[in-house]
Amino acid sequence: MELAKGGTPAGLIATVTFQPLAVGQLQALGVGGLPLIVIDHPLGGEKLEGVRRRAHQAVEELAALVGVSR
Amino acid sequence: MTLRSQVLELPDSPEAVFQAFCEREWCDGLPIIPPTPERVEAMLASVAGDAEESLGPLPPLWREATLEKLAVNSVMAGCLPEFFPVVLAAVEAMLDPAFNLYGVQATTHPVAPLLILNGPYARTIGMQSGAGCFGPGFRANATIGRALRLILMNVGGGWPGGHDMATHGSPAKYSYAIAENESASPWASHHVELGYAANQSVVTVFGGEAPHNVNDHVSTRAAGILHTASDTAATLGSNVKWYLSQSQLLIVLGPEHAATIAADGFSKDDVKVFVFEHARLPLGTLKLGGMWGIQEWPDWMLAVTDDRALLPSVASPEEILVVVAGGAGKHSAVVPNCTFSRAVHRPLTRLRA
Amino acid sequence: MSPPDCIRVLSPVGEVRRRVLTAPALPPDLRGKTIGFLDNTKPNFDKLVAEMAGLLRERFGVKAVVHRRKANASTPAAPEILAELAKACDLVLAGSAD
Repeated sequence: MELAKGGTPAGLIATVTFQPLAVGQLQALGVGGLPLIVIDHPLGGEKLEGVRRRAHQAVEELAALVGVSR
Repeated sequence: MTLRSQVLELPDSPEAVFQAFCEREWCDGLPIIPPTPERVEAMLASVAGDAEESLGPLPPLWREATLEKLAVNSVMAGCLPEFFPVVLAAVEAMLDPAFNLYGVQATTHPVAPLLILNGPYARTIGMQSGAGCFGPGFRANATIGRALRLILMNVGGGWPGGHDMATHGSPAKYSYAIAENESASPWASHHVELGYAANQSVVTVFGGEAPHNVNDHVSTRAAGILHTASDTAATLGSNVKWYLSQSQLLIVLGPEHAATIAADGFSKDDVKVFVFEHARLPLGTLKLGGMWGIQEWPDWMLAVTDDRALLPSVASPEEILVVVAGGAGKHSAVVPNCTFSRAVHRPLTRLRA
Repeated sequence: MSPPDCIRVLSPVGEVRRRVLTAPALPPDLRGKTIGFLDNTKPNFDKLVAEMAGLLRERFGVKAVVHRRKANASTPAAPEILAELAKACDLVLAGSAD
């Protein structure tokens, strides 16, 4: 968020369980427009296959966000 | 006095008001005192400052901690107006960046701010420092601690599972406030150690877990009791030790344990050094789980390879706080912090003369 | 005046006084861009970044990925780390979860 205030495009990656916290933070700090990439919860404790699946999710979401902002 | 809060008109019965507040997620699940404008004004009249004045934005939703909102929540908690200056000092302390209130509010760890009141005002308002001080029965302790929680929920927005991400929470999140038992302490009290005069009243907030019991019924020497306390402090599952730069331990000595320790010639600093040297786990144990691999340690600790080497839980003896509280009996308590928040103190400055 | 048998009470909920900031726009295309990751140190975020880095290079033609870790999960990133990411990257993604 500090980065975005300084003018650097920035976003957050959060698991779905932490989505409300992340959204609340962004809105409360006046940067509700920052992109939020949501992946399945949890990330910690997952084996490599699970991490890979979440990486695909994240990249798909980023692709959609970039598409929208185009 | 102009109050700016949204006004609700509700049926005038305790059940209806309680129900309305529960439905709106405005309370902790226990009955409240209805915050009428008259009660809120009486609360505000006990302190210096305007209703609109804000102590700062409270995380995680960064909503303003105006004196009016703090008073509304203090009324709900059951505080008497004379408790309000203590609540304000605690909120001021929690807003110090060193306390990292965002981390304390949003973490999955079961941390709650423990309020410790030192000085004569604790006796003025009847804040319990003796038998059962962490437990029920004392209006000042119960309602001041509860006011802080309601403020953290309603002003900060730390609703469980929403923006307060604590996995289990903690009973300490309902209310967590004590006074030091200064008259039963063989040493200078905590605020005097911090440089305040004994007749000043000072609030300390400590982002801690619920108390861990230190049962030592047999030791007649300082070393025995402090070994028991050190062993209680050094556990694999505690957060303390993983982020070493912000790890702190609070040792709450029961008066009988404190007397035994002092009778052996130990000063408070000696207690801290002893616990610093003994509240340790071997490297081989630390490797078993906890936060092994994601710890934040100084280089010298990361370079240790001997699995038998005993590594400290905190960075120095100064990171151990010692207070005396409680009543009769051979128990003390260890309160580990959450390791991303440091204890902060503030004098009571808003007492209306 | 309240109707009889009614009580007037005040809302305990705080209010926000902050102004709204405009978030900087995302780059229209990631090709040739440098993407930064601010690692919150939570387990597996480093692996997620490594996996995403591969996909971003293959699918978006991303030029480089910069991966920096905070000191720990619960405190803000050091200003030096933020400054470095701001200087080097066209887009920064921060980890915020378990």
